[in-house]
Amino acid sequence: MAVAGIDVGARYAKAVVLQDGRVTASGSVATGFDPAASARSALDAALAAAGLDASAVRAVVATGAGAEMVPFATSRISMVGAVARAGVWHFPDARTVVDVGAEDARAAKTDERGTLLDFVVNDRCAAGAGAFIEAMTRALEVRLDEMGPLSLESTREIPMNAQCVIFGESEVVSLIHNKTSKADIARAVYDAMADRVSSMVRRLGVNPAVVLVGGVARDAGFVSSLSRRLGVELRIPENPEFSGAVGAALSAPS
Amino acid sequence: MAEFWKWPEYRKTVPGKDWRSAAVVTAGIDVGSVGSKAVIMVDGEPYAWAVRRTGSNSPDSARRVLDWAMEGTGLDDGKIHFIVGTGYGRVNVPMAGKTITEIACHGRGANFLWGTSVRTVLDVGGQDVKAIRVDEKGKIVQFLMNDKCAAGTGRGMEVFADLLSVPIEQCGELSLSVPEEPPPVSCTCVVFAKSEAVALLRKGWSREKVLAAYCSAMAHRMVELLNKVGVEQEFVITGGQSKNLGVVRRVERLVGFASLPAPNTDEGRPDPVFAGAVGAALFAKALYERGGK
Amino acid sequence: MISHFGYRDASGAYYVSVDSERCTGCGACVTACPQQALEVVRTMVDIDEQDVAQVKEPSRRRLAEVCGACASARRFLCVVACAPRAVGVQWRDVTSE
Repeated sequence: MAVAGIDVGARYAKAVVLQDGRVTASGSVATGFDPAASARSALDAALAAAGLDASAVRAVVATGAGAEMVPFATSRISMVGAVARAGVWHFPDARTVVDVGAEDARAAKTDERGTLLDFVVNDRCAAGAGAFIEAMTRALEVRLDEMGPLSLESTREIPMNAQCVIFGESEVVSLIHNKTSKADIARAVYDAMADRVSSMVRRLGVNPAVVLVGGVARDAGFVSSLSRRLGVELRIPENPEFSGAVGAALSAPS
Repeated sequence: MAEFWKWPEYRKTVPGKDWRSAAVVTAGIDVGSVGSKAVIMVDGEPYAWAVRRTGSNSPDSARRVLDWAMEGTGLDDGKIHFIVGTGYGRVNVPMAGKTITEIACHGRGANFLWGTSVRTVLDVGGQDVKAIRVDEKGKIVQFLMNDKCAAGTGRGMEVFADLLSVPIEQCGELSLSVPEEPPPVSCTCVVFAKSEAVALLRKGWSREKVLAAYCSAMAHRMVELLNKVGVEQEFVITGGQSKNLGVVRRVERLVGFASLPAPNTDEGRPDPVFAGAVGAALFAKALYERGGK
Repeated sequence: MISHFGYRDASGAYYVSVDSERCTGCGACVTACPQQALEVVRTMVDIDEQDVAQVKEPSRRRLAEVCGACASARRFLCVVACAPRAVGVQWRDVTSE
């Protein structure tokens, strides 16, 4: 029988289907104003892709900010628990999992089975989450997908003083007025984010096997800055934005 | 974009006063990130003052505002016994004999403008919030500045005003027009508060109610900062946000007592925006009398 | 005068505080800090000049990051190094709750 995991995030509801220890399908729907409906749609999309009927799924585990709003979930787990499971499942030698979402971020310390030993969560300050990068792309007037490659062209490391999305926008604008190159500014944005995220990780103790998940893991600019800050090569699974859903599915009671 | 609470530029000379018969003429120049202020004192009493926008060149700002303060008085730098510079750009007051921290000047100035009973000053600027405890002489006992997070600053309020399409100077009054005080928005982070506000508006909350919820969150945040240094009467609120009654009244409700109103400016006293420059001019007198130069 | 450097945001309150009346400007805290986040500066606090320790400007808004290692070890080296007990740290981090 199959199990399903649904991660209802601030922006997207993501669902995966797990069969015989493999992810066979996934679906993603914008959360919008009705998380329950989006969760349903995401699951339906995943089931359709797997060629399965809803009755073939013996458990649906929900996680993410909107987990409480999934009425058809058979159980729920915390996001940090979910990404911890998923991280170690993808990379069995990993013991630290970092998840950076649109509006929050978390770091988990795990054992070899992906069981949570310790964790740190930031869900109160937008400067430590994807919202920071997004806001800076607007201030820089580049697209989100252009930001990463742009930052990799940087030739100079400059500090960013602002530690807040609002002040950051003003700082980017004045850096532009001072003729700082957009590439250097883009890199400074990623470095500042990586600074905050890496300090969260370091509170758990340094570990060379670090997994990075969440949508931001697709951003080459952020990955580069975070690797530099932590001094490790980050492990990133395929489809990192689905790790929450994968971890939820893995946690289905047997 | 950083312009908040647009101050009018103006100058004033107190009528009926003359520097020529004074023993000590001093000046204080406070170069802020938005406005530069100069106060000239004659034997420790305000004589002339001026406020202008700080341009991008702050040594120039100090010169321009001092010149304007002196306009029509017959004064020039040579006739001023001692000048003290302060403020955000305090290192850029080339005519100053000494520069003193803006906090020390602000405390001393508040003591002069409101009286020796002032013990707590909450200064809410465009980009930072400061909580200051002073003694009866206006000497700083404790100080804390929060410039990391936009929540509680004028800038944070500006973001909300834009979201709700309310002119910033009306936010306070509008927020006080609610029949019943709503609970504060749960997140002080301006970014998250904005998302929360959008959801509340969709639920049918009026703009006044959303503003009230946000001003309430801001007030809570300011009181948290104040609690780090402790709030003791008499309590005064300075800075751009002091004009936002929606936040001021809620702060007063939370600390349990009223803040002192702005001092009467008819009696030859400058507006509280000059607190730093007043303090600097007073320090200039003390330094001169001690024999400094 | 006690100066509190740091901030409170929704994740917690992080402050390094220096009492200028106890501080002798000796610099022990500057040497002890593994992040080089402190400095001694000649300041006119009132009309008197004094050498006082303070947190460097760029570090003030990043205390959660800067002091993280000492916080994990539950031992703030600047506080330990200060003989006149002029330096104090408040660290309340609620993110692990």
